[in-house]
Amino acid sequence: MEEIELIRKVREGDKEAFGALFERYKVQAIRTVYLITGDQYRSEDIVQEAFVKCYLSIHKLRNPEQFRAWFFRILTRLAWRNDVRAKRMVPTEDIMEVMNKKADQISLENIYLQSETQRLLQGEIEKLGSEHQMILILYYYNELSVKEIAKVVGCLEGTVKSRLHTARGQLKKALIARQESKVENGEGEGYEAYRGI
Amino acid sequence: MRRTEVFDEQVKQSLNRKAEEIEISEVLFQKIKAQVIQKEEENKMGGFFKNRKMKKMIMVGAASLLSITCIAAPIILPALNSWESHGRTSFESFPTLAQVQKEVDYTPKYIDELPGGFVFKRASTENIEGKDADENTVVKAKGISFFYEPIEGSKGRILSLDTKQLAEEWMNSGEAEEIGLDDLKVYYEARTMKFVPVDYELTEQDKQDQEAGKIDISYGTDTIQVINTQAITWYEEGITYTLLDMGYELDKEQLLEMVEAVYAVE
Repeated sequence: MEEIELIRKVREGDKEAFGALFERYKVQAIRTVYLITGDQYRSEDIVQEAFVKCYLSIHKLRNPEQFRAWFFRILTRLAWRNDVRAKRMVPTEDIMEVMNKKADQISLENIYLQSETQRLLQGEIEKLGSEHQMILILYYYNELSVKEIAKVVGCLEGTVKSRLHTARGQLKKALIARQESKVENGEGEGYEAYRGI
Repeated sequence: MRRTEVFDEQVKQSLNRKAEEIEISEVLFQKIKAQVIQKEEENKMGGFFKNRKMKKMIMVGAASLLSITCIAAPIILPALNSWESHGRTSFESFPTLAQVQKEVDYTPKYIDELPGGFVFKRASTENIEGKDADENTVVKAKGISFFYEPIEGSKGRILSLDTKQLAEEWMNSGEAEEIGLDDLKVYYEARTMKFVPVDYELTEQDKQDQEAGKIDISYGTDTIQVINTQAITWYEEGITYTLLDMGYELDKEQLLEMVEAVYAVE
């Protein structure tokens, strides 16, 4: 069924249609929030809250064709608010549970298969400021356009482009710095490619 | 492939790998649906006490007495989008006035035994927040609840005296019956609560009973439980009191006697 038709049915209170909409967006939703928060438990709570809010306020969505941007706006705002509040810390009594969970998720196979570049990139992405990180995620992971991102985040397209440029610059700087460090140590991988991009 | 494209691809792959770490819970949609239904019911009823944090506690099977009390207390406060309650300290022995004052910054009227052989068992304090539709906190308050049991034990039932330092303007009598007790005005209400698991599908009978105002459905317990509740609420000198009976099914007159006993405290 077309998404617009689904949205129309959800507006009428059709919970089956809502379920179908959930199925379409659930994977991207939970993974986007996880990329922002880095926390599985909070991610699920945030996604739950976002879908509930989506259902209860879908009548406010003027243009159903804009649903994707509208939904991700709700989602990222909740994630942002939650992340600022939590500051990526967990209560002491939960920390062992969280660490064990992370160890299970990152299997040895995953570690060996992942290139050094990507490990480095992951680390650097996590170091970005929240606003830059969010735009990077929406652009590269959710593959939203600059225009859509501007709607989601609630800023000008120029601001999106500027933050994207800054974020990319920071990541490249890190890659180049790593390359220079490897050259000094007699190792090497093609980070030279990132100069001048 | 151009260098920019190589870099873009690397960033994308890095994010995708990270994103794949998380799994989606199989019951996530059931939880969403349960919460949606709950909110729809709350919106229909208007003045029903909404407490997301407490509902979450029940959903993980950690239903404390206080949380059930909050959800069942029928006469509280509308005007705001939601109320959240956070449990704090508890007393296993009858607290002194000084101890209560220290925890909640006020001293309500309370006694160690209610008429009919119900003795003090424990007390719990809480912080509550009332929020508007934009999640802004509009009012904050503290509260303390006193729980009572007969000598033979509660057997899963609740009799509590809940107090909250909230102004009278926040009290909404709704459809409660107004009763005059000498110079005190109290509000009596009886409801049947049906506690159900998150994936429970309402039957036609459930829907009819809800429509007729005969039952309230609350999601999140492991099993289906039907509990008859009664509450008497009153306001005195900056404090809202609620005497709550969940499951004991005492006579209204007996509950009113208990209210009088508390009111008589100097």
